[in-house]
Amino acid sequence: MLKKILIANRGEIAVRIINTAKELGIKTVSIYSEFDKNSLFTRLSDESYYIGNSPATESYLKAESILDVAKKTGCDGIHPGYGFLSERSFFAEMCEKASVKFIGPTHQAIDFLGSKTNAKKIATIAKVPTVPGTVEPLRDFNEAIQIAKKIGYPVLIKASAGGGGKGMRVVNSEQEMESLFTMAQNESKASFGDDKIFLEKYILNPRHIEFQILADEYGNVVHLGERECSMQRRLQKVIEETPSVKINDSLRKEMGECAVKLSKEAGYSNAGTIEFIIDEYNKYYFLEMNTRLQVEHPITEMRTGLDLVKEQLRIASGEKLGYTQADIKFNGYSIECRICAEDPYNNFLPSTGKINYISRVLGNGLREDTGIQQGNEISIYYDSMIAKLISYAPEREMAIAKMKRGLENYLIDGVKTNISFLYQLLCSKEFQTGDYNTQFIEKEFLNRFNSNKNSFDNVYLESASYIDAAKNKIGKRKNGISEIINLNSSNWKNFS
Amino acid sequence: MEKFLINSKNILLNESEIIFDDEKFSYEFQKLSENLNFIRVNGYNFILNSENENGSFYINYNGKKFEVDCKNSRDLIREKLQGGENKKKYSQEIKSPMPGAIVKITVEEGVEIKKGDVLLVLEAMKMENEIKATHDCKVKKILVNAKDNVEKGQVLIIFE
Repeated sequence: MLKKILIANRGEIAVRIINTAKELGIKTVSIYSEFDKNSLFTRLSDESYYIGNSPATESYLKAESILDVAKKTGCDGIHPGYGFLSERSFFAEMCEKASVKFIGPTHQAIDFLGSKTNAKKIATIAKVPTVPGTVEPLRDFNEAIQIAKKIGYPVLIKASAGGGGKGMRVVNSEQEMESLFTMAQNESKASFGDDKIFLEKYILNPRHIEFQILADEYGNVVHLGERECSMQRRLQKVIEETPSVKINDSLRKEMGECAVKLSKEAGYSNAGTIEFIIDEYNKYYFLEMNTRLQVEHPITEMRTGLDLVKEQLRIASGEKLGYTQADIKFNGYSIECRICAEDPYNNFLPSTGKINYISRVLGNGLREDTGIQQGNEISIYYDSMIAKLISYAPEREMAIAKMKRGLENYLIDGVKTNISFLYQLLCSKEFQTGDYNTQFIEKEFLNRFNSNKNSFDNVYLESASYIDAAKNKIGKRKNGISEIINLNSSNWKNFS
Repeated sequence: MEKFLINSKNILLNESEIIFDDEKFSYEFQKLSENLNFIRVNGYNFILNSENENGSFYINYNGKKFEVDCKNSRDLIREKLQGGENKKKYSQEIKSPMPGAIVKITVEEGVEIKKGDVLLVLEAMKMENEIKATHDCKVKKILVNAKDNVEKGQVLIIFE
C-alpha cells in the first residue's frame, strides 16, 4: 500500500481523500493557495505547504511546484481529485517519470480518453454506439456552421478539455453560432488552457446516465451501476441519483457491459466514469469517459457499500480488485444535491462572501461532503460549491424525504444559496416520478420556479414573517438611522 | 406596542406579543445570525432566512420565498408627506454583483432595453455570466469597457 500521498486539490474533495487515506494509515500532504491557508483540508492533512497565489493558475495548476513538494516530502503517490490537474496527461506523465504514483489511470489512457476524439474512436472499436459529430477540432465558427448544416440543428459545441458544463453551449441556429462558439472557446481557454472545440448532434430531451467503473492494473474491470445525472442547468449537474428510475435491469446490464468493454479496450486502470446520453426511446450513445473521481461519486458509494477513494488507493498500490461483477451488490437509493453559493432568483449569479453562520442536522441516512466551516469565505477564485448533501434509504421515497429534511435544516448566512431551488426541484412531480430529462430545468422548471408567487397558508408562519420584518425595521433604526420625525400617537392617527 | 403596516395589514408588536386581524399571539425571538432568526409563535417553531434586496424585504422558508412589505410609522408619515404611496423604484444603475472581468458589452448608450435583455457578460468563478436588465429602461451611460476588471459593487451601466 502507498505510504504517503499528496493531494493536488482543495476543498471538499481534498477533505474526502484525506479522510480515507487516514483510515488506511496513509500519511497525507496537502498544498494550499494564499486563499486556502486556513481551509479545513489543510488542517486535516498531516502536513501542508503553501504553493502560490489564489488564482488556480498560480497554485493548484502549478504542476512542477506540486510535484516538487511531493518529492521533497517523500510522497509515493499524488491524488489529483477532480478538476485542476486531474485530467491532464502531462501531469500524470511527470508523476510517472518522477516515480510518484499518479492515483488515476496512466497518462496514455488519459490522453486517449480525455480527448473526446480518441474516446469516440475507441468506442467505435468496442462497438459502443456514439453520437454523430466531428472527430477533429474545429478551425473556427465558420467550419462549425458548415458541419452543423450537414448534421442539422440543434448542435452541441464543446471544448475538448471541457467538463462540468464549462466550455459547452447548445446552438439552435446559424445566427447563434458565432457568439456561442466564442464564449465556449474563451471559457475553455480560461479554465483548461485549451481552446479546441468540437461539434456534435444535440440529442433532443436526452437523459444523462453515467456508469462508474473500477479497473485494476491487471485488466480486471467491474462496473458499479449507473448514476442518473439528468437534473442539469446549463449542462451543470444539480441533483444526481442512483439507481435511475428509467433504467431497467436488462438495460443496466447491457450498458454496464458496454462500459466495461470500453474501459478494457482503452487499457484503463483506476476509477473512471463512462457517460452516456439516452434518447426518448431508450437508445443510448456513449458520450465520453471521465478519467477521474467524479463529484457525484458518493451516491455510488452509498448504493454499493464501496469506498471509491479506498479502491483508488488500493488499485494505485498495485492490488488486484479481488472481486468480480457478480460480487457487486446494489442496495437502496441514494440522491446527491449540490449546494452552491448562487442566487436562484437572479439567474444563478454566483454569490461571494463570508459564511458567518452555518448549521445542519445530519445522520440517519444523510451524509455531507464539504470543505467549508463557519467563518470561511466563498471566493471568486474557485467554483461555487459549498457542500454535497447525500441521502440514502432502502426506498426512493425515503431517500427524497431525507434529502428534504436535510435541506430544510441546512442553514447558511453570508452568501446566497440554491437550497430553495433544490428543495422545490425535489418537490416537483417530475422528480417524484423520476420522469425528467436534461431539458426539464431550463425548459419547464425555471418558469415555474420564477413565476411562483407564494402566499402564506399558515397563520403562524405569517405571524413569524411579520415579526421578522418588523424586527428588521427596528434593528435598522437602532443601527443609527436617525429619527427625523418624532413618533407619537398624535401623528399615528393621521393615517391609521 | 409599536405599530406597523405589513402586507397592508395593521400590526401591533411588543417584545412578546403580536396582534393582527383581531388575533393575538405570543412569541419568542432569537437572532441566530445577521439574517437568520428563530421565531416561536404560540409554540410553533420557525427559522426564517431574510433578505434585503433593492429596498424589498424577503423571507425564505422551506424552499419558498415570500415578499414582506413592512412599513413603520415613520415610513407612513414620509409617504403621507410625499403624497400617496411610493411607486416601486427601479434601480437607476447596474452594479457588478461580484469581482470579475467584463467579457463583452452587448448594449450601447442611448438604446432602449427590455426586461431580461442581456446587458453584458461578466466572467467570474470561471463562468461567463450574462447580466440582464431587471426592468425596461434606456441606457444612459456605460462606465466600463470589455476586458476591464471590475470590483463587487462597481457601477457598470447607468439608466435613464
